[in-house]
Amino acid sequence: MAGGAENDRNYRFEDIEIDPRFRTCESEMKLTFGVWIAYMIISVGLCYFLGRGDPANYAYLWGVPLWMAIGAWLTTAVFFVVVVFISLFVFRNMDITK
Amino acid sequence: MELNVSGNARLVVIATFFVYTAGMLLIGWLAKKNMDRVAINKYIDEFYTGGRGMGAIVVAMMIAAGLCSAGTFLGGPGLGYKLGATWVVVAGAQNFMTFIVLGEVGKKIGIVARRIGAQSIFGLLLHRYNRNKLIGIFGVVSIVCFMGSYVVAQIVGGARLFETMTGMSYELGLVLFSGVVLAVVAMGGIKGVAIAIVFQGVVMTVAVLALTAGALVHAGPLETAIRGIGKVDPKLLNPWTWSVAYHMSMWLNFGFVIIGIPHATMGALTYKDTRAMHRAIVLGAVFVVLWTMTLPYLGVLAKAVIPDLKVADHAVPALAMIVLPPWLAGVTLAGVAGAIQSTVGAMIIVITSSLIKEAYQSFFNPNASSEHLKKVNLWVTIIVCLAIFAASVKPPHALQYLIIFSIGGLASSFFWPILLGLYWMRCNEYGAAAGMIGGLATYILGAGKYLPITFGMHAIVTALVVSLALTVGVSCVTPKTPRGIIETWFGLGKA
Repeated sequence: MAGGAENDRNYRFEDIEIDPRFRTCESEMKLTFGVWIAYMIISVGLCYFLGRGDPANYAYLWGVPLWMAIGAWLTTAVFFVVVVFISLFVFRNMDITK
Repeated sequence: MELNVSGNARLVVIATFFVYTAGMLLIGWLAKKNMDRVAINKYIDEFYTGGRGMGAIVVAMMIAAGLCSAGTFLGGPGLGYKLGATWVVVAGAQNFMTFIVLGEVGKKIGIVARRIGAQSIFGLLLHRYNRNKLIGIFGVVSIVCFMGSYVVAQIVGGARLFETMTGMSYELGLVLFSGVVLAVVAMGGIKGVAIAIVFQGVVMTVAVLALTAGALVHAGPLETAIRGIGKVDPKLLNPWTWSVAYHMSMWLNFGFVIIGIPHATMGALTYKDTRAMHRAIVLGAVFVVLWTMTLPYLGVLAKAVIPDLKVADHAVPALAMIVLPPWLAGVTLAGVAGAIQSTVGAMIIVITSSLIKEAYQSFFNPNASSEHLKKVNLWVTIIVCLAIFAASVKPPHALQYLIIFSIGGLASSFFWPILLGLYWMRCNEYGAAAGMIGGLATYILGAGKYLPITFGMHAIVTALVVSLALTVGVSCVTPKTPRGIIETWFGLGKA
């Protein structure tokens, strides 16, 4: 490409031929954001919902208050499996050297 | 109660810590031998990105141990001790940090960095934003000031702990905590840091496992201990200490925005292929979840074992001295040292690479020869290390302000320019500059309580909203990024 065209600031984005690998990158970015936000909402939501009321009346599971066992431990364990699955089976391998 | 260590135990702690330090020096020496064999024209690339050939475990640890610092090993358990259960929920935000960093930006950074030969995240940003001088100056100054002061804070915290646990002088603590890691960086660059980080990650993990087991055995049945804490102070078991809005904003601060912290994205520049990158996410998750799902809880549990600790940040070391045999308490001190040193090492790499590649080479001496760069690199690294060491001996008063704003300041200025630069073609240098400066200014005004603009949340939220609005708004009313850059970042890279 000539030097002038390279510095051109008046062009149409439609004329750029998108590298298909970047489309994959973008959808993986969106998936990552989505999963992380779901983790935040579910974990914080469960902890606060199950942790209402007087701590003296808390139910206990695995030696800790139920809200902690479910909202923090179990939720993290579930999302750990989700993250591992996505990383190994959903994220695509590609040549990154071109 | 204060953290007291008896004479005999002290000797064992010191001996264990010295073994760890000897291990670190050996790593530095090995890395130096390795770097001596590197051809001169490849030296800078090897020094800063390890020739982009790193495997999963190194990349995982670089992000995990690089980000988990004294905050995870001292401050976090301290907050668990002070605030109780609400803190353990917040700590969860950092659980999947390798997933966030590599999943959001890892692959694209890997491809583009190879296309343009970038050695730092800041180098990438400068290319994307048309080598804009304002972004260059703002970026270098904020990286050097914020990261430099954060490094000093980490080293000072480590040296004070060393003083308390061993009874030896603060200055010797400084030499052992900082001198060692500075030597590793200066000798081996990122290779030294990388091998050291894996070693440190392993020591951190052993320390965490030992401490968890020791605390559980010592505290007796878990439910009885926890109920006991509830009887002393019911608030410590209640997640409602903070409002839901404030809590969520803390999650954003510890999880969502970490791609804006320059040393977090370093791992994305070094992995060898996507298979290694995917495995790094999984390995990183294993380690970070292990640390995060134990350390803050140990802080809470410490309340049952030592109810009247004077310095909350000493929860982990104090617990170690009580529930573990001295040599394992020494390993815990080494684990804390590892957490601090791995972050310090990673940050110094970011600071020197920004100074040398982005400030010196780009703006002052574009035609510098490889040999000249190698020499400059060595001197700049030594000067940065000495400056950090000098500031740690007697931290200047003004440093406090920089430390308060450091991580949030970096994240609020870099987050959108990195993310939008990678995925939105319309984003240009004018928008990025406005977003960076506006984000940082808003963060300082909010976090410093100069203006009431946080709305009951962490200051990062308002800063992110302002930074996003400025980056998008200003980009839309100014010219597009030059076509050649967009071809490289979005197209087939023919340009």
